[in-house]
Amino acid sequence: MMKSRCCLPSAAAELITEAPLSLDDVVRAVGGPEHGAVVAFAGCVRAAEEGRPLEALEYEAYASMAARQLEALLAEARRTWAVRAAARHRIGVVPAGEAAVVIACSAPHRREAFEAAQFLLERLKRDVPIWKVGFRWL
Amino acid sequence: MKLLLFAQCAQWCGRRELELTLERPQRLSSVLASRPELAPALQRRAALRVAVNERFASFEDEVHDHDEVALLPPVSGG
Repeated sequence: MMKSRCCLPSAAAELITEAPLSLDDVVRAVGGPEHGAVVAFAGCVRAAEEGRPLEALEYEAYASMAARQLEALLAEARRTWAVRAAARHRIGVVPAGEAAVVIACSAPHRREAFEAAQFLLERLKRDVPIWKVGFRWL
Repeated sequence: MKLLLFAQCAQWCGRRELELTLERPQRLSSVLASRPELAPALQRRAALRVAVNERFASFEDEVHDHDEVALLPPVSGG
């Protein structure tokens, strides 16, 4: 699996990573004294797919382009809603119950934080080159 | 020109990477059509996207010998 290094503050350094994700990390990355609203999202692997118990999903990425695309989406979210934003996507084998993607946005007020977080998730699912390539069944 | 294949594209074509030499810039669709090992992916072309140098592009774009091109099936991240 390719890893991508991004020239960003350390909190957002590994946008695409094989390491387990933490909501705490992205929430901490967007914290700020003026930002009263913090929205955090985790997309986790469900424990079953079509009624069959699932042990894990495997994700593959065009890692360098995925990191570039995610950086661009974060920049667009920050510009459009004046939020602080952070996101990471995990690749490789992700066990059921664990997060494949985490997103956090903060703003002075909640509307912008919610809208930016939703934008990031929807656009990530449309435009970031990451694929579910395997199901590991229990 | 380096061609990268991901996910189902890699499975269909049985490989993840192909190195091609372009004597001159060419339309990407012509470059791909010239390689029989890519036929399984090109049959499903309508569902694919392409990237050139990590940016989404079109099959009709011109590509150069130094470009990195990727064939991308429908993404399923998140």
